[in-house]
Amino acid sequence: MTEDILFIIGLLLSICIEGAGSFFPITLSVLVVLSLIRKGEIIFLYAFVSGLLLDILLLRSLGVTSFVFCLLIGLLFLYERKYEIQTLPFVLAASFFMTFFYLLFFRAPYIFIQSFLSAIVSCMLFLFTRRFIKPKETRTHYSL
Amino acid sequence: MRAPDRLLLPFLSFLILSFFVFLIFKTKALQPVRGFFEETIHPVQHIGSSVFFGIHARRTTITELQEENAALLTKMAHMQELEKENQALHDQFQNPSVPTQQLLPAHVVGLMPYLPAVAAADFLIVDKGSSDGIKKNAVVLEKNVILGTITDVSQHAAKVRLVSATGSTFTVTTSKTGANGIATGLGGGEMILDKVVLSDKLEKNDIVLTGNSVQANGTGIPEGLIVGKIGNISKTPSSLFQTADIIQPLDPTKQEIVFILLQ
Repeated sequence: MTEDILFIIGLLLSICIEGAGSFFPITLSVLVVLSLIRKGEIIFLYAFVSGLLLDILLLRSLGVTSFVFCLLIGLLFLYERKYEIQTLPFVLAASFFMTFFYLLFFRAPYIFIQSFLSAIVSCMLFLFTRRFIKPKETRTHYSL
Repeated sequence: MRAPDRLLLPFLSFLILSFFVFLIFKTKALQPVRGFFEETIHPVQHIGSSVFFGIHARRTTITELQEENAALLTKMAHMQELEKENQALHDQFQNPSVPTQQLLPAHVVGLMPYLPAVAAADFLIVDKGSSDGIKKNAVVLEKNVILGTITDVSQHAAKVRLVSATGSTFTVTTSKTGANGIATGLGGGEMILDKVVLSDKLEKNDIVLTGNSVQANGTGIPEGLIVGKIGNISKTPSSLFQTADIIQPLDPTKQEIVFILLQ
């Protein structure tokens, strides 16, 4: 429960930063890390609500960001059976490619720099979070 | 994908729900619902922009000098215009630059994308929307300097595409030599004066003003707004046109309040 509150605070903070004007999609980075640390159905709810809030803040059509977030996180879970996803290289690669496609979808500028920054931040967040919260080991149950 | 697991159902549910939300909010009927959420969230966004990026704290000496420079440019442009006109029109030019149209002040609540000293923002988000009378393509300015145009409007917010953003183009004319061309945004705070025929004369530090591109319905950019000063000029006899860099007098990302020209 405490973990969930911390996740929600972290997510809201990232939404505030992105809404105010961050260079890269920090909410997606946070969601990637959350998906790996706190696996489960709740992540899709986080993604859905975060997307809606971002749509309101960034004046996008409502539902678009939620759709992309849910789709990307779904794809992330697809790889769970094939790879060890709770590793730094996977976080780096997943965050980079997810940000890349997210930015490509929204036709954002500086796609490579933003994706790179997002990957770095995701890794840092992953390392930081893993120090305090032990990732859930539910590999067989929680995959698509 | 193997047999359905615990995550497949929530995944598909939220995916469909997102799409459903997208479809229902495309209808005008639910705009007030979005407007309510915007009204609730934008004060938080405003605080966020102040806290995380210090829009309000960035009013340094440089910012003040830039504003002073912009004001001086306005005066210079007026002076050069006055030289061209006869004395009978003198009094008319003493009036403010945008006399007949209404300016609506708006707070900048968001920048996208923005990384200080690395990448300049291409878009701003302001806290005024259609409920304040703002329409798409309205001009955003500060001290008679054009900053951008409105690209998206919701009930309580609007998105401003800066003149330096990629894809931003509009007709301009130089104040001193009267050369006509097109100002094109290159993104990242840079813009050029393009499509100036070789026979026209370009001078460094000449002021670039907007040409008249107001449409019949009243939308568009009015003439006489300051775009910037001419920087380096690129002129080769073999090419059809000459180009020049445009140096903007104001940094749009450092403005906490901008003015929207109501049409």
